[in-house]
Amino acid sequence: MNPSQDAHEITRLLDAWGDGNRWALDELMPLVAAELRRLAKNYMLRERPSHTLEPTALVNELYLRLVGRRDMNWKDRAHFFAFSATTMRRILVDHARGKRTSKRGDGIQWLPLDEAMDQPQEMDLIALDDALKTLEAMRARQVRIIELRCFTGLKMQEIAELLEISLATANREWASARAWLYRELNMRERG
Amino acid sequence: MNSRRWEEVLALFDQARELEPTERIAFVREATGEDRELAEEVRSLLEADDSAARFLDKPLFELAPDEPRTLLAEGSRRLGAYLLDRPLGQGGMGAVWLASRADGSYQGKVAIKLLHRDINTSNLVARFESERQILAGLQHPHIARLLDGGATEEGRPYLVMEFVDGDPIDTYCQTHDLSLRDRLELFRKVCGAVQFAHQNLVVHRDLKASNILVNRDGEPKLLDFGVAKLLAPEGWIGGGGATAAAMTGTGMAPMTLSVASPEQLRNQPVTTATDVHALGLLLFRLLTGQPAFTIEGQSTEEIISTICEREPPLPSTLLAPGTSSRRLVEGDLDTIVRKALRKKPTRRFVSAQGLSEDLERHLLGLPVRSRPDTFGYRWGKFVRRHRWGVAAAATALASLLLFTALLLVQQRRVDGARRSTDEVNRFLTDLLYSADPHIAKGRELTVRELLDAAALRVWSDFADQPELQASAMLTIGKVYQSLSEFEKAGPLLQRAQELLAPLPWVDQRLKMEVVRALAKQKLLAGEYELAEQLYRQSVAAFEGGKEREQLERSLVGLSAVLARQGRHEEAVTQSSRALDLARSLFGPRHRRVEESLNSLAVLQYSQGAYSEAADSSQQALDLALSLHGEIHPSVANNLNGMARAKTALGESEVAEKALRRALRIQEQLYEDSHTDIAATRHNLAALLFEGTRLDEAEALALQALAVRRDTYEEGHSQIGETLDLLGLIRYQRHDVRGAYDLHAEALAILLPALGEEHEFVAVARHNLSRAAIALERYTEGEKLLRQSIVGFRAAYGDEHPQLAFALNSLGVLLRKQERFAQAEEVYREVLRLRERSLGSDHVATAVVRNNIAVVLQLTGKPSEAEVLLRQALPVFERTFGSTHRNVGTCLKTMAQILSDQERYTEAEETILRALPILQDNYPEAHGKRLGAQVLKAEILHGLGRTEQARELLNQTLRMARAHGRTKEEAKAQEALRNLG
Repeated sequence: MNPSQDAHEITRLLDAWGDGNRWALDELMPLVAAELRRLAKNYMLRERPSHTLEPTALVNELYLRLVGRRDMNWKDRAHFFAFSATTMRRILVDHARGKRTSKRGDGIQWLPLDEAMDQPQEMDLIALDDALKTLEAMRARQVRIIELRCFTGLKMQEIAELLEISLATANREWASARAWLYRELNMRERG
Repeated sequence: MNSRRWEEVLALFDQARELEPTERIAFVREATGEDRELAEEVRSLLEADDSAARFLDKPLFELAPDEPRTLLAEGSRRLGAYLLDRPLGQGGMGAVWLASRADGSYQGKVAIKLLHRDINTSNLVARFESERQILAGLQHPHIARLLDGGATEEGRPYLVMEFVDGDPIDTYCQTHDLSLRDRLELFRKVCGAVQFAHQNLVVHRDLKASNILVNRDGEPKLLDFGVAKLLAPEGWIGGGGATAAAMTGTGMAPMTLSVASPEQLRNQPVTTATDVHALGLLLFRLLTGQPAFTIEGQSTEEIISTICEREPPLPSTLLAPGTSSRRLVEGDLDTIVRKALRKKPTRRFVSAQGLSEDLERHLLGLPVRSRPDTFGYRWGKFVRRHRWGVAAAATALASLLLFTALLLVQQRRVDGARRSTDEVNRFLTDLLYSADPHIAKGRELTVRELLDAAALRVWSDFADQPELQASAMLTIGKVYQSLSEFEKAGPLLQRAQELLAPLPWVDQRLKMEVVRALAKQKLLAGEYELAEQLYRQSVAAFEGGKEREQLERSLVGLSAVLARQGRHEEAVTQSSRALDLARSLFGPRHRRVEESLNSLAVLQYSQGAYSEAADSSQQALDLALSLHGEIHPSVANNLNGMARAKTALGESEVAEKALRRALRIQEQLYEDSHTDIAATRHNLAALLFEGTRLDEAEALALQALAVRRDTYEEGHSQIGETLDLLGLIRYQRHDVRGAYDLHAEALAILLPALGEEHEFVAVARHNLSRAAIALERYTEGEKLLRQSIVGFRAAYGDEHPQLAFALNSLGVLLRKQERFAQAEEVYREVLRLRERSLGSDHVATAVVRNNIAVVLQLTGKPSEAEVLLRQALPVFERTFGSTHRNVGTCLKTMAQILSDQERYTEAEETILRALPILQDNYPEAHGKRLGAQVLKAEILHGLGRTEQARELLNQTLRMARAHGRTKEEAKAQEALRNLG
């Protein structure tokens, strides 16, 4: 299916969903994932610091079509964000793996959005992904927090609300997960 | 770690984290008791936590930053007098929200554009007030009204607009599957609204599909009128567009790049024509469902160049061939879109109304006013888009193809010729059309690619008409030659010859033209004997006949190849014949005369007749200027010729000016990789290296070398020439070893390429010998030098300055070996030659005087030496400047001579002038500097300042020892002994 057909289909499903058809969301997700993938691919093909904001605008457009057009109930919203976070994580990691196979041993250099110009932050997405997989077995909720924080950019308050936990809990879980990841990644580097 | 264990770790980690850092360790130790592993786990996690403060503190990917989410949690939805309802969308400027009046004073829904924080709109509100009158007056059924504007408490600007419940126009057309006619009608309504705004002096500046919504009634509404201007930085208002930096930097984009017009991107005044351009893009999209320019994945610079320079494809070409929708768009609509999208605002429709009216005429079946681009217009643009050199090649391609057709008209049956003409025309037209971006996969073909396409097609296109095919191949081959693509020219020309050979009826002229093009090919490939043979064949074909013009062409070629072989006298004879022929055939002011003069100048130069060469070049240059104007290959060529002659005559300033002018011209004409540019760079480098500007000289020579290595076969003589030049430059940089290697490589190329007799071989041997001598390989050096002198005598005869130069080098060698009598004899011959050919004031003559003076000094004839040196010094100062190393060396010799005559006061004065110059030009322990210091000490001793002399000698001795300068060390020791 080409992108414009996809877009058409997305619109149709959104309408169905808006009319109260819950199943529509389930059908929607793979399409949205494809759309996100397409957008992300464009995004990453460029890999120019000056363009880092552009694809977010594109993804946002899609996001707004989903979230903005119809009232979304709490559960759906959480569902959506969790889905988005996981999807983005997968897209970025796939991309990083693709890069790694084409350029051996060269971890993706990911530029944080805000500071793209002056503070390139090197992030080994594959290592991060592997670590997250380990953490998943230890405490899945922490992985959700990391994902939501890192792959959708939600604020802690929003994450807390989505996961229906207190802000303090969210912060604690975040802090320990982050410390663990940091240690894990650095140990990997040393090892 | 299992999850249970992890929970233990987490519990301790969380508690420890609450504590002061100093208390943590103790806490963990206490809490973990015997479980060392657990303690270590928590401790290292705490440690990681300390370092991880900035780890992952920025999202790796951010979905929907800012506004929609901040309102996700129930926050304030109040904005001024409005109550935000739900987000409508996200644009480049910020989020758009559906809202209503909080106080209920206005029943309808409004759209609120909440702008990004970083938009610099400090005076947006004030500006809004001033624009309000105008925007309020903009009441049109198809324009959404701007109602209000303000800023949030955090200072975030927002705009309030009439809410339009509808879809973007392109989506609308698609989802409703509108017919072409309906689309055009809808589009004309948009034009009407734009026209209305224009009449109210409002330009939209950011018209695009997403700004034009179509409501449920099928009526379009234009959003954001006046917004772009309102949001523009101050300087932007009332004229200039935003600069690329302003658009892509941290600030907002007052326009959308993909729908910007060339004038906006170029920072030129924005007018109503800007909106016409945007309408053109919109119409394109409505007709094809695709954007006119594919800019996805391009950088800002690429986008700008795409929009400003590339022609969009014709809309119809994006539609499936053979379909009715394509046929409906072909012709008028293509033409109308093209006109709306012209790069130059004044060439577009005068107004949105004009565009609308032409569409109306089309709908009514009337002829539209827009005219398709004429062939001339199209061709003219094609040529203008490309730099002259390439464009000229393209023009040549066209005119030669047409010429071919005409030729055939003359010599064949009328109906057959008619057919041929048509065929050639079609071939040509097809080619030009393939320059259309849509055929060339969405991008514009360069002339080179065009030519490549032609070259490919010519093998098959005229397969049943060998004569026509041969002439087309000849033409294309010649154009390739003019682009220095000899490899591509070769097979075409070869084939053309094969095709014509068995056809007895074919005009001799055509056959010989192929022969000459092949000869040129051989000439450029360095296969001179073959080239000569071919040119002679062409001369013989026309000798005594009526076709004197053809004879002239052939003679010019023949003289060129003779010259290349170093047979200058024969070459001049042929060249003069050609010049006379050209004058009688075409009159004194004709391109051919200019070309002949130019060739003659080259030959005269090669013969060493520099003044004559300069004269011929000047005549040719004047003629070229009056015929073509400044920016023309011939002008550059003649400037080069003149520069060479002037260099040889010692007028380096004139020469340098001429070369730089030539380079400027060529850089406008050609791509950087053109061999003509390489040649001029080589020449300029050759000139500069004589002065003190070695850096520039070396850079130029390296550029020239790179191009030549790229363009020519390995072993081509021109590569050798540039290598030789680089060797000279390295030598000047005191890198004798490097110079030796370069000269050796040059000789290894030049000798097999040009043969034993060639002057360049002699030159390369001469240069290599100089490096060998500097490396103190005197035997090898002398052998090479004597070979080169033989070569020069053979190539130039006894009178040539180059011979004098080589003899001079031999003199230097003999002098170094202290064979003074032989050296003086050689030098005296050199001086005679130089005075005769260059005159007494020439720098080269002065050099010889200097050298004789040195020998005379060494053989104890200081007074004779002084006379010669006093003649040489002012020439050096004038030519090189008073701080040049040659002046320093000359002054040192002078000081020596004066010292020898015990004129110590004068000697001291002179050595004090020499020393700083030598210091500036030579490394610390250089023999010349050490020698000069010894000399100074001797002079000081002569003046009775013995202690000063001793101190200086000791210092010099130390330096000489430290650097292994045995010769200078011995000198200094001897001088010390002389002090007593």
